[in-house]
Amino acid sequence: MKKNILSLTLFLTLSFFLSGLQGSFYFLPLPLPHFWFIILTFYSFQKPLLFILVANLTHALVLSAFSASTLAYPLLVINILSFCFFVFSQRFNTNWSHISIAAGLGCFTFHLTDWFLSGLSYGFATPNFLSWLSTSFVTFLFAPPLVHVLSSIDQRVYYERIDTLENLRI
Amino acid sequence: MGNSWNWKQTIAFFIFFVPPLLFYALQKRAGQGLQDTVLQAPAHWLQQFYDGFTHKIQESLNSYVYLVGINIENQQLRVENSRLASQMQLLEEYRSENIRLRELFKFQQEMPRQTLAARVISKDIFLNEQSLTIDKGSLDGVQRLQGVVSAQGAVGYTIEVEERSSRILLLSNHNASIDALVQRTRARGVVSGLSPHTYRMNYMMREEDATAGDLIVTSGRQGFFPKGFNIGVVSNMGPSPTGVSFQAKVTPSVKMDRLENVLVIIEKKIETKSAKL
Repeated sequence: MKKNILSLTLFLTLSFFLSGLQGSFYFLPLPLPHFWFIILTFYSFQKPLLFILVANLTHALVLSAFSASTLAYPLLVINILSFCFFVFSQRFNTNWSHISIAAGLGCFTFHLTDWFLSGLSYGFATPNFLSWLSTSFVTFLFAPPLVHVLSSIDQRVYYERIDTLENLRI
Repeated sequence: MGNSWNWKQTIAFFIFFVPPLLFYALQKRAGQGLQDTVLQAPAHWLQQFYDGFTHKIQESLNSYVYLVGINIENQQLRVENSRLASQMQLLEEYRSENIRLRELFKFQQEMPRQTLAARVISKDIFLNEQSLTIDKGSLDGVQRLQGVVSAQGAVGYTIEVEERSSRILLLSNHNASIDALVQRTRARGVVSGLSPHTYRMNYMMREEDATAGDLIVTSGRQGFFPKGFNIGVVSNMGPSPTGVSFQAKVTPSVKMDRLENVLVIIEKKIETKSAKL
């Protein structure tokens, strides 16, 4: 339990700093990746469902601080995406290409779904495929190294360090 | 990784899924929840911290690309140009207003308002949400629900104010709406966001109230925008889905994705004796 809380706190802190980074570097010619997608992919590929649900709730709280949206919007989006990732994670694994595909496709699908649902509510606007593709592509590129960094942090929290020599003596 | 999936987990998922759906349907406004009071201040502080770096990077890039002296002069001229362009819009509106009022033999004076120049330091992390963070807050005199304009026209209004930064809800946001009128026919309506590149003007009574190419300006009735600031140009006109009124699609006069500097209207309209005549 204590390790779960520590692990969650670490990822939320990371999410907080990366979300701020994403908002502040808006002027770059190529957008920064959707870091929250990458963290979401990590949660969904590595963690049990209960952890994912609690993490999603707190993650949505962090993201809503960087947005004009209500808390319900990120919570809804994150839960739907987590559900998809969680189901797909039974077919995918944690190698680089699978993580890239999951994060990149998830990002593009999010934009498409968001456009469709907004269209149903407010009227359809011209879709900006180029912008969606560019953010998805950058997310696709950044996802594997970042997920591996997250995994290594997580492993340090979860597992006790076993000294090999000590182990051999035993 | 082979995570197992069963019905209990599905039920647990929907327990976490349905409440946010209901909250989303209820559309509670941002800036009022517990998370806003707890997390907004550190989030704004972080954005200002990053802005320190990004501003230096931007400045260095600009100084490298352009000559230093010309760059500084250019910055000053841009600010001056923004102010003059804003005044020009007001003057144009005053001119047309004056013509109408002369015809009616009445006089009314719109007082100029005090504005505060601010720099954009961050954008919304959800692209469709359309909001900006600026580097001026309550210590500079910014309050909630104050109009924000640029040289090209109306931008949005403040919705969250911290001590040294504020969040602006852009007019391109679905939840933003302001009172507006068609400059040529003086027909009124409500402009709200449809997409980053399109607004919608609702509740117009007749189809001939607006045609393609008509300029839409702020009506000044809500109080936080002066009268006559450009909102956009009508691209097409048609009946609303209910058929009760008419609505127009409007192309924004401001390119929201290229905003760097804005003006916050910090002074409310002051009623004077001459205005009451």
